[in-house]
Amino acid sequence: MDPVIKKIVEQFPEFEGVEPEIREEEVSHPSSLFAKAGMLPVPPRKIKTYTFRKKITLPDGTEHEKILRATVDDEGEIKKITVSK
Amino acid sequence: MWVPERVERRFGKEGKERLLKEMERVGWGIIEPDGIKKRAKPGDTVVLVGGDELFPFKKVENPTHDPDPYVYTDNLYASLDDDYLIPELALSRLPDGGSLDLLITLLRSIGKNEVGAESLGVTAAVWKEAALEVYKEVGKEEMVVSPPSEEKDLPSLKKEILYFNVHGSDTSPYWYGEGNGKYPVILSPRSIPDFSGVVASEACYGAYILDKKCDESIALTFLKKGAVSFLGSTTIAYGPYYPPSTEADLLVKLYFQELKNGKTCGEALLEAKRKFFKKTVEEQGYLDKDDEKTLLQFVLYGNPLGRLKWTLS
Repeated sequence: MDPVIKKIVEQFPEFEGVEPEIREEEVSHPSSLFAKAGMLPVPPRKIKTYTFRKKITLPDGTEHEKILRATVDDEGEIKKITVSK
Repeated sequence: MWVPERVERRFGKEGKERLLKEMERVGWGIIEPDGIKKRAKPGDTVVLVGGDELFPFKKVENPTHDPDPYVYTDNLYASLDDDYLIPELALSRLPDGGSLDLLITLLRSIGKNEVGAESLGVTAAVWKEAALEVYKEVGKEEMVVSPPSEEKDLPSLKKEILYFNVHGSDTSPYWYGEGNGKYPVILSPRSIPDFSGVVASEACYGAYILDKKCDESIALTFLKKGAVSFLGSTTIAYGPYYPPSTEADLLVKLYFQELKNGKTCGEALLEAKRKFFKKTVEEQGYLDKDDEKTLLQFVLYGNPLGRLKWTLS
């Protein structure tokens, strides 16, 4: 099993059995944007995101999708886990 | 800033004239969207007059892979260049909810409006620790945690600063808690009393107002009931279970910090977005797609000149 998926499922068992979508992406922004933030630009980075999606029904019958996203660096370390509100 | 032909289409010629008179009474320059880059300079405060039908949100392709096809944003109106993740203008929107009267009420409320320190924070149980990290910027009291709390257990919302870290939906008018597999309704439009403070919500779709009437939207109801301003997300928002604050939590935390620094609501959101970018890159090493979505999706409604009476100084 993918070690990232294993860790996520251990920590958040409600996502057990959910097949995440895994995307590799390069994040980069123009140097002018860094200048607006008053900082030096950082080089582009390659990251992976794991997106777990699960449908739930709210008490008034509203269908809601719960989404957990994990950002993983190029060494396979989970850098951030967030969930939809 | 307004789009007169859209106003006339919706409220007729008489409605347009009435609105223009009210805008003139505020005493600010009145411009149409193409005039913004000629007239505005960094740091200026701008108000968009109307909801999506009167003054359409900009639709940016969703950088995050989730059910939202677009992110509805006002960042492009608040930016004088193409780097719209970090805007230069302090901007708020006056939604109409289909009512010219609401729009005029909101226009009349523009001006110096100071709010006190009494606060209330409401969080889903699963995010309690993360929410406390945000709420401690403005609140000393215990937060309402849902579950066990449900809407009927809410204390009075007649406070001056309200913070919500809860679930929301684009198809229902309710906000929800979460804990132990339960999602109780924690707030509905009908529970909102007359209110004259600032509201910040991290709920998904908390600021989603497309095709909504007042009683179908908590954001619009807060404004109708007298809220100075409402900060929220137009689309699905994200945040952590635990500190440190990232994404929606970080944006709202920085917004509260800037309000405490004496900034107006409009200036506070502007500065919060700049600091969000800087802090995220410094601590994470980069700005990812979720972070980009956060910067785009948070919008301010109501009086951009509202501020706290109390500041850090």
